[in-house]
Amino acid sequence: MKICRTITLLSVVFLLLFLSGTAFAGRYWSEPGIHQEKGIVVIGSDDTFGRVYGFSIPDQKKLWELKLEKSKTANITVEGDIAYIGGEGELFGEVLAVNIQDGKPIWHRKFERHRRVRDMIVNSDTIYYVCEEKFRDVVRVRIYALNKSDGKDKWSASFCQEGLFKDFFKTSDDNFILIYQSAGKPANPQDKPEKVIQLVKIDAQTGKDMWNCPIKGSLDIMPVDYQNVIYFAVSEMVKEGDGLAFKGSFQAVDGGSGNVVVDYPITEADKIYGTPLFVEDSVLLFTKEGKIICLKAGEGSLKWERPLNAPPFTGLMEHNGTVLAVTSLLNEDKTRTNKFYGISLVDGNQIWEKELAGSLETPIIPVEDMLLAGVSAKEDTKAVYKLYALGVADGVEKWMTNNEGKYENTLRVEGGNTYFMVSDKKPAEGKTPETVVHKLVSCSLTDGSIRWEYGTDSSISTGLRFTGEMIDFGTKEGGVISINSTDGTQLFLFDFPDEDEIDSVLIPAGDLLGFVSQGADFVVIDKSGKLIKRMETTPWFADWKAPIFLGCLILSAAISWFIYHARKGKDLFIRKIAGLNAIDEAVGRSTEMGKPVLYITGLADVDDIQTLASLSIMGHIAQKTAEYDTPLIVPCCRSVVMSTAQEVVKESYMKAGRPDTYRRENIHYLTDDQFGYVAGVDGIMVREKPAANFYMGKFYAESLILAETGHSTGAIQIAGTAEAAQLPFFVAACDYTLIGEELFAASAYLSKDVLQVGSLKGQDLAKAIILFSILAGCILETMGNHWFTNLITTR
Amino acid sequence: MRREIPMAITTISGIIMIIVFFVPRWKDWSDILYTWFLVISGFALILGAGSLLLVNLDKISRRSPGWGYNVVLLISLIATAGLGIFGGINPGSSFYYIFLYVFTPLSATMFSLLAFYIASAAFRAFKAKTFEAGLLLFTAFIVMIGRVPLGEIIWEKIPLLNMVSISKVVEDWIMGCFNAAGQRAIMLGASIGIISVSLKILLGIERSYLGGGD
Repeated sequence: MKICRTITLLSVVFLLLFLSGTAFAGRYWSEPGIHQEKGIVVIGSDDTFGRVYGFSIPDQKKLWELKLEKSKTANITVEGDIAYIGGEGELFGEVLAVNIQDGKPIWHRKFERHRRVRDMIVNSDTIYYVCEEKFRDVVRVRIYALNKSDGKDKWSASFCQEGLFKDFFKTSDDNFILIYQSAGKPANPQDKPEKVIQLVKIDAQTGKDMWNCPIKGSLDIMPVDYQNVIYFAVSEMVKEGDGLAFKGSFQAVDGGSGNVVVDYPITEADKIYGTPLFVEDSVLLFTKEGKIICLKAGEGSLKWERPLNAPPFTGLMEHNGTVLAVTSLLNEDKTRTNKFYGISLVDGNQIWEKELAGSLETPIIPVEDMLLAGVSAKEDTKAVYKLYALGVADGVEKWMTNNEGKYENTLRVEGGNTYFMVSDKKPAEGKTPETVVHKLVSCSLTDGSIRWEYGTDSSISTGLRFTGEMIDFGTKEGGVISINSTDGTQLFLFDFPDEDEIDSVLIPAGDLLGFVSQGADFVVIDKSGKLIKRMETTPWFADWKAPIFLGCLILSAAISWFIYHARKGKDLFIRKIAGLNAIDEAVGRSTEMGKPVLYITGLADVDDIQTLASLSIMGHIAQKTAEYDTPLIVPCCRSVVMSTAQEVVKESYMKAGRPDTYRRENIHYLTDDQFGYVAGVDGIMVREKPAANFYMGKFYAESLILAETGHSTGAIQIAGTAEAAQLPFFVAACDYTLIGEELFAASAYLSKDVLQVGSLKGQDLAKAIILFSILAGCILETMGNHWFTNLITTR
Repeated sequence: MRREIPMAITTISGIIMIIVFFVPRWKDWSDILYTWFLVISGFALILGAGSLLLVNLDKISRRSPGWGYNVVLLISLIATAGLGIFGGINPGSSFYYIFLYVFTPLSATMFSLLAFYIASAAFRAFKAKTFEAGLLLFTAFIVMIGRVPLGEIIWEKIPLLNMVSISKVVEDWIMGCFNAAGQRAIMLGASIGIISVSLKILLGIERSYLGGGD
């Protein structure tokens, strides 16, 4: 009783001390739905919390909070006063329409047995909820067309019943294209089935197939819709003589009839890279070997070809009638050669060519009559970012800015000026350590001259947002910075107290700005950077873990009940465990042979329960070795385990009345590295030739190497682990193996302590409950009733 | 107090981790505990290195059999640590060179022993002395056939059997039914064992990991 009182007292003291320094959990957020006029933001947590919130920025308050049934937020669309929320779960999907003012559901649809949401498209009167249903390895796509006003089905249908789902998209005539791969019948029955791509057009009004177009081969370029024609590239390997030959083509299917209207053959060297570029009546393709092919859209006739012979492809764009192609080649000395080409869209003639050295950065932006492209390079070991403005018509360098620092992906053109961010190391001065300075640089688009530079210790996390003369952005360090775009002066700097990364967009509403942080708060600040309101969103209880909570309670109650009965003196039976009975035999054998006992606690640290179970067993074995005066060698893989093991063995020796025979150096550290440890233990086995080896704890691939080396030395071996993947190795190579739960039962079994034995009986009762649950689940699921499965499924 | 304080720390840490699992607002508590654990591990590493030095120096001074290995170990330890501390660990450094061209091949060598040990262990395990061992051998044979391309070709030549795909037999039936059922049973038992041991540690019933058991 004294020990219990002391523990309780100390626990309370420590707990109070610990609670004094609380903080909040990190969260992940979906893209918000925003009602611009009312300043209402609907945002959902894209995590297991499964909650959606409505915030009013002008009123600075949380309007409502909604708990999704068994899913997390996937899509939010706000239209008028209604937010349409799509949720996705492991075996559950749902769509809700809620009033954004009070969060009250207008309608709520649930979809059982459907997982991952592919898309949620909100039309003028219909919501299309596209989700996956998976049975074994077959993924089918199911589309629900819901009436926007009441959520009832207009139609619903399953697709790609006999194939592998590839893609789904909305066409330019407001219908859908579904792509899946199926297996076609080969011409020769002995050959493998041919791969066939199925393009299916679905009528958005009825859900019926409008047409189905099978294409032989595998997709090289995913289908793209341009002016109601679907373009894609396919290829296959066909038999040619004794070998296989590449057969590919760039094809297009008419969206109205489903007929193939373009079939342009592609050779292996001309395999297409990247997405096609559509300009007016032309389709531009970039090939593997660096050739640009221009086809007439809708017909597929060749307009022109332009070999550049400079792979690999990096970018293809069109500006003011000039096709701009970019290639970036990695040289043997790890440098890059970046080439820019200007090609006439009319006849494919190359107008100009320009080479830039350095690592090409994105984005590459065509603006006015220029092409803005940046490269990172090193000058005198210092990182620099060079921004070039090349003439679109002639490729002539109009200007170039050279900026010290590493480019951060932020190049923007706004209001006749360019903006980008670079980071540079600021060397240590005196006691001030080295720091990283992030600079936002603004250049004139006319001559590239630097207008201003703004330096900060914080790195950007949200992208730049321009509002009138104001630029603002969120930072990874948990702040919002606002800058005057005219002179680069800081308007305000809002420092978030918990240093939580701001990973969402900053939402303006009148004179206020709202944003969510990873620290689970919605924050409202004014345009001077003053904190107006901070609203917490994280719930107190993880209700989605309620089944786990309930399971733990039942198990704990069962264990406690049996402990209570054991304490009352009730005789409890435990079945014999051969591996534990053999411990005496193994230690005795070592004593008779005058050889040591080797004990391995596994690879895990003391924070793993298997290691703790192993240390408990080691205590009992150490007592035996102390009684028989047999050396016990314990090489450890973790230093904390070593310290603990030394204490456990020392206590056991003292308990056996043989503290004089305890040798601290026998319990020593080897290395944290997995195979270094194996080498060390194998060396001990071969040199010391222990007569008994114990492997108890968590093991990975080393289990068999250890056990086989031990077997080769002729030792009696007893192993125990809860790692299912390692058990076969131990069973094959050891004399006895404690399987899973037996490892955890060992301490009770060896000590015969009534309280511990009681806990074992509690475990048995828990197993009986689980067995009954499995049977009940099987019966109910077979009958088509999902109630029990839903009850025990967590989000 | 020598026993009470460690037990109190264990109980509090365990309770905190359970609370944090069900109370998301206090998730950062577990992060703090992990940070503490890392700090303690850092100090314990000094203990580990000290232990390694003492054990090996003792063997060298006693000229115990194979003491030359201990010398090699100590030289390697001191040289690698020294190069890492004073020369850095970045690509191009001596430490990086040792890691890439000495340490990694040695680790790979140890790992590759597994292939031979699997063969020798399988040879012993698959001796069909009893009906159960015979059944194991037969099942293992089918699984091995299904997992290698050559096996698939052989299977396709066997009349009647080739009506069913070998991958379906192996993946869907043997591995998906019998093996998965067995593995899940072991995992369920182990999970209950873990909860039970955790509960016993939290309640102070299981104290043998502190040494002795009293």
